[in-house]
Amino acid sequence: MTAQFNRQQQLNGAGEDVILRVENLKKHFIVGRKGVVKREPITVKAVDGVSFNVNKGETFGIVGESGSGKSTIAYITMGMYLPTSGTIYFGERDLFDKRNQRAIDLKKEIQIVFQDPGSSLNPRRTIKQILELPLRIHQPEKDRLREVIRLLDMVDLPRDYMHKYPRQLSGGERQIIAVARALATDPSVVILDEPTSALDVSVQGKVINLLIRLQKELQLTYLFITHDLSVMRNLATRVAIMYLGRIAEVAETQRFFEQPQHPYTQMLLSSIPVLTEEEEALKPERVLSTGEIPSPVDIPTGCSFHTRCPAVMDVCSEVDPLMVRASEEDRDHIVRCHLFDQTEPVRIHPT
Amino acid sequence: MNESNGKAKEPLLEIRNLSVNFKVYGGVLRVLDGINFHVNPGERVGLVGETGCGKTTTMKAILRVLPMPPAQIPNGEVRFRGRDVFSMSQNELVRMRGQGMSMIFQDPTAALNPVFTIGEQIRTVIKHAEDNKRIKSEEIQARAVQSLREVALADPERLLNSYPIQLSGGMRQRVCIGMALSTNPELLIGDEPGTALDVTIQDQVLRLLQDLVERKGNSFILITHTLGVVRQMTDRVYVMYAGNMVEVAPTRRLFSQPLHPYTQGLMAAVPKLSGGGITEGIPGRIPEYKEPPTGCRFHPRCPHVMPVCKQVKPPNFNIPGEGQEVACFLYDEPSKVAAYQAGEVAAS
Repeated sequence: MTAQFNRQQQLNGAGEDVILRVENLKKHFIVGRKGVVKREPITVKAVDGVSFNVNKGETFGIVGESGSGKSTIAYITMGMYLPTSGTIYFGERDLFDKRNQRAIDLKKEIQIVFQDPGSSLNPRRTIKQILELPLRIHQPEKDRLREVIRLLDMVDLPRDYMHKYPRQLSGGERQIIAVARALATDPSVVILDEPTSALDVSVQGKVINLLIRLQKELQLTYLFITHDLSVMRNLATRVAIMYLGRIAEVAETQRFFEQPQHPYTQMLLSSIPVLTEEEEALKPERVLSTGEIPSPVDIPTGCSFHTRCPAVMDVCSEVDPLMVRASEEDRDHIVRCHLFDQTEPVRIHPT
Repeated sequence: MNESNGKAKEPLLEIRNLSVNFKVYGGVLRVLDGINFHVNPGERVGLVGETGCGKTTTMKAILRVLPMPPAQIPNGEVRFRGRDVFSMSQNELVRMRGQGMSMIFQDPTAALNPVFTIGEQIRTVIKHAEDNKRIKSEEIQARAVQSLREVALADPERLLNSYPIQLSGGMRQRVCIGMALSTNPELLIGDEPGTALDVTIQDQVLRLLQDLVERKGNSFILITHTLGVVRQMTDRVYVMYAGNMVEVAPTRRLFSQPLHPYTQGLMAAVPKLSGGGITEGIPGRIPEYKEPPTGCRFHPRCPHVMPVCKQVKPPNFNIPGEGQEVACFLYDEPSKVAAYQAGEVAAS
């Protein structure tokens, strides 16, 4: 056993370069009660036992359909929710050791860009005021005007934009302001929660390329969340796919798109409408999408995907599959499916 | 396609030189700027463009549901089966909307009334489309059941008694499709029918829609900003930018050889599943409709802009052979088109 653990330690990079360590994270929401006497809670298992590492300087992508729990992970990482169980480490520090009293120097390190800049920027504040707020809190000693100018220069927006209001900017420019605000505290991890989903295609490229450039310049680590697989392909270094609160597969990006192993990944990839024959050829053999996404209140037993899976077996409805290696050649390719040998489960965090 | 019948059939729907303005405080928004558009019987036509380019205004004009005022129609006409929509009587309009065309909206949750059962809503639609003729309630019920069965919903009798909130998003959209097809319209309009759904569910719904349209032979207009969906589902595509139709071509042709600089920019901006990075997209932003750019409305953002573009609105230039038309001065001489096709003008 120990030999096996040592090996995993190497391949999952539990060494120094791990910046975020998510350990068996669970978040259950109580959405109602049933029964007259007992009042048993009805829970939604938004995130149900998720573990992964994010390495320094990488872009770790999480994809999934609505209700898969990807945004919940982002919000827990930000401290907007407390986890039901499990925790997240930033370097060596537990983000939740003081429950909701996160130390201010930890808050500074993790920042977020939300999906819709129309609602994440205060319409009654000028850009200058918007960018000053994080500076006031986290870097009160610095010259704020100079910092605002530095931020605007950094994201390539004209300096006189500081006197404008968000409504005077286009959607793309507003999102760039949201990025600048996230960078104001000089963070090391930035969570990108669907940063381009509210934008038109002709402007999303600009925002994405800006994000790529800033990552290189500032050695940022991104936790990138989206449902748009084509954007994911071009931005992430590793991708995890979630289904009903759990990770179904994790792999390095190219491998994820070229050799998807989990039936759900294959179904999702083959459902994407694409523009060229070249892309069409890259998609896995057509896996026809069937069935409905089950309600998160009533998650199927065993593997939660078994109700829609084209390769379903008897065992799938009874036993929850373990995280195992998808192949011998790429040991970082992990999949949670009964089609793969279950005898050697992968532990993401060997302790 | 239709030329084989000797002479081209009359289009089912035709829009000629239509302009729509909105009078607002402090000015007039010139939203649609003399657009031309037609749909032949049995044809599947796509209408793509970004947010605010006038796709929905076009559809509202067709259905004559534009609020007037503030909307004004200074010129142009819409003809459905040869009849002028703007001069129809109220009765004719109702008939056109019921039996002639129906619409599927983006968000099925908002399109269905939450306080009525699915059955009540479908039955109302069927009753209405029959001109309130005396039609037996058993027949209405049978047709309602049939329409749900067609959209592959299990147990339609039970579903008819449920409320929209009891169904999932994908099922609700199926109900809307069933409802739209229950009156056997000649023209079906889908306004972003899959956008509010998850990818795997969108795939199911669009495949269903495609099967139904193919089987029933309706004409179909698909309005969307997702180019990949248009490529899968249509025969011919119109590309719209800032209230103008900038390019129209058979679908395969448009995707293999987009000619208008805007279409080219739009296609290049879509991130590819095969990787390779993302282009910067198109610089600038959609213009204000209060004072749209003179000449070609795309000229402030165009990489190939010429002096003429700033002064004259480009007419549609025919690209010989393929049924492709493009409103751009780059193609005003046949020789330039030939040069383009020979690859001498770089597509950027």
